[in-house]
Order: sequence, then structure tokens, then C-alpha cells
Amino acid sequence: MLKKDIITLCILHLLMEKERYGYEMIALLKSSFPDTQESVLYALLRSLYKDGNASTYLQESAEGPVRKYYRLSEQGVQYYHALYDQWKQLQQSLQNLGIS
Amino acid sequence: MFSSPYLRRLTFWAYLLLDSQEAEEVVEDYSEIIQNHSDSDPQQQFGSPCSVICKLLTAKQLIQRILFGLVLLFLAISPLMLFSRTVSFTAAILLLAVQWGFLQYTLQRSKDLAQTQPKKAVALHFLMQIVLALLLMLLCGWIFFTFPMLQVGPSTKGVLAVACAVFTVSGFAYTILSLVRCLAWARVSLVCFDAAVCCTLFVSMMAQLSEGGFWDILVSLSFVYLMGLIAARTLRC
Repeated sequence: MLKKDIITLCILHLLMEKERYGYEMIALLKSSFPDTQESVLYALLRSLYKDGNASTYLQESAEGPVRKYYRLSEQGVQYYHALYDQWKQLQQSLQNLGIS
Repeated sequence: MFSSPYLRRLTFWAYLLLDSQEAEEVVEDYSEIIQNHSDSDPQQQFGSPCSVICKLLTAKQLIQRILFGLVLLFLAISPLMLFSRTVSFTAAILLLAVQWGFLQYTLQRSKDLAQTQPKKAVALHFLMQIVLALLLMLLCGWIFFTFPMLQVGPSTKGVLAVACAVFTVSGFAYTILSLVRCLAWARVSLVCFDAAVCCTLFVSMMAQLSEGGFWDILVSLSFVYLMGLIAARTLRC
């Protein structure tokens, strides 16, 4: 559950930086979470889209194929801040216990 | 080099387990992702197509699919139960109502799928539809030939005779007409079928209530619920 929330936070963070296409995000996440299957990463991305935290649009890429880009919605931005606050609190709790 | 058979299997599972709109989107997304991974084995990368799709199901959807599978299993063994003569008239009526629900579901689903593809998933639902329709016919016949043995008054038997005859004939007509896509007449037979099933449920419920036991009241309540479901579905169509 914790890992799922952390990966969700990472996806939201990537989308806060800029609009990205699916494979780009999965590849970036895979490099940070190598033991997590890509289908799990995709399922999390999809659930963000289904819950209305992100929307999609199609755009042609320089290499040729049309790509589906994801962008954060207003609700997604709020969700990012909520998850980020939770993460900070967790970090603080761990630091208080001497775990850095 | 690996992607094509994998995508085919993924497409099959997606259309089998997800809503068609969602399945279409997921297949498009995976086609895009797999295109970028053309040099590696998707089976290793993502896991089996079935597990990939299962990961996309919400807890509620997963429970629905498991329940669907269980009821389908129950329906598959129902002919054996009928032949072993362990089924009561009441249980057969309940079974009839459940089968009616599933036939409705598969008809709706195959209509939905027919607009999107793929052929295998459509064929599977069509096959399921035919099997369910045959089971429904078997049950109708069983109920029709069983009711004369019931210990009920002559007027109740008269009503049951008419109701059973109507739902047997209209159920058969509805199934055939739906399968050949003659939808206007299928709707007419559906209304007759629903009315006759509701009538049978009502008469059976009154007979149950006259017994007055706890189990009888519970079964009667389930009959009321089923009648509500059938009436709501009929009014919608």
C-alpha cells in the first residue's frame, strides 16, 4: 500500500513537471523501481486517469506515431499536494525515530 | 517479434473482462508501450495477459467477475441437478429468474462487443448466450412438467398451467428472436415472458406464504425482489 502510494506520488510529480506520454513515464518509473512490473505502473497510471486526476490527449511525435499524453487535472494537483503532505509527515515521523 | 501474439491474447482478455470502451483504450495503450519495447518479450516484461488485465480491475469489478464465474458454474451444473430430481419447484423458479438475468446480461454484452470486436470475445459471449438459452429452455420445460405434481389447489394449478405455458413459449420465442436479431418481436416476447415469470413467482410466493415458516417467508421475500428486478428491466426495455 505504501509503495503504491509512493509510486502514485511519483507519477503525479512527473506530471506536475510537464505533460508526458505513457511509455515515457513508465520508463522513468521503471528506472527508479526496477523490481516493480511495468503492468503495475501502467495500472496505477490508468487508475489516476479513471479517477479524474489526469486527462489525456493525442499528439503526433517527431518519430512518427501518435502518442497519448497525460496532463494533471485540478483534482490531480490537489491529490498531489495531499499525497506530498502525507509523505512529508511520514518522513518526519521516521526522522523522529532516528531513521534518516 | 514477440508482440503480435501477446497483443492478441491481451486483446482477448481485455474484451472479456473489461467494459468495451475501457478495453479499447487499454489495448491502444499497450500497443503503444509494446511498440517501444519491440526487442524484448512482453510476457516477461508485463506478465501474462490475464494478470495484466486483472491488475486493472477494481476490487468491486473483481468480485463481480468472480461471482459471475461462480453463477455460471452453478448454471452449468443445473441440468445435472434437474436430472437427479433434487431440485424443488421453488428452487427451479429461482434458478429460472437467475438464468433470465444472465441471459439479459450476455445479450447486452454481446451487442456491446459486436460494435468493437475482437471476434473471439464476441464468439465466446455468443456461445455463452446459446448455452444459457438452452439451459433456460430446459428449465422452462422442467417447470412446465413438474407443476402438475405440486400439492396446490385447482385454481392455483390453473394459473400456473397458463403462466408456465406462456413463459415456455415466449421464452423460447424471445431467445430465438434475440439470436436472429429480430429485436422488435423479441421485445414483445420478452414482455410476455417477464409477465408470465412474475405471475409464476407471485403464485409460488402465495403458496410459500401459506406455509408460514421462516424459510418460506425468506424465499417469498427473494421472490418479491426478483419480481421487482424483472419489472424494472421490462419497463426499461
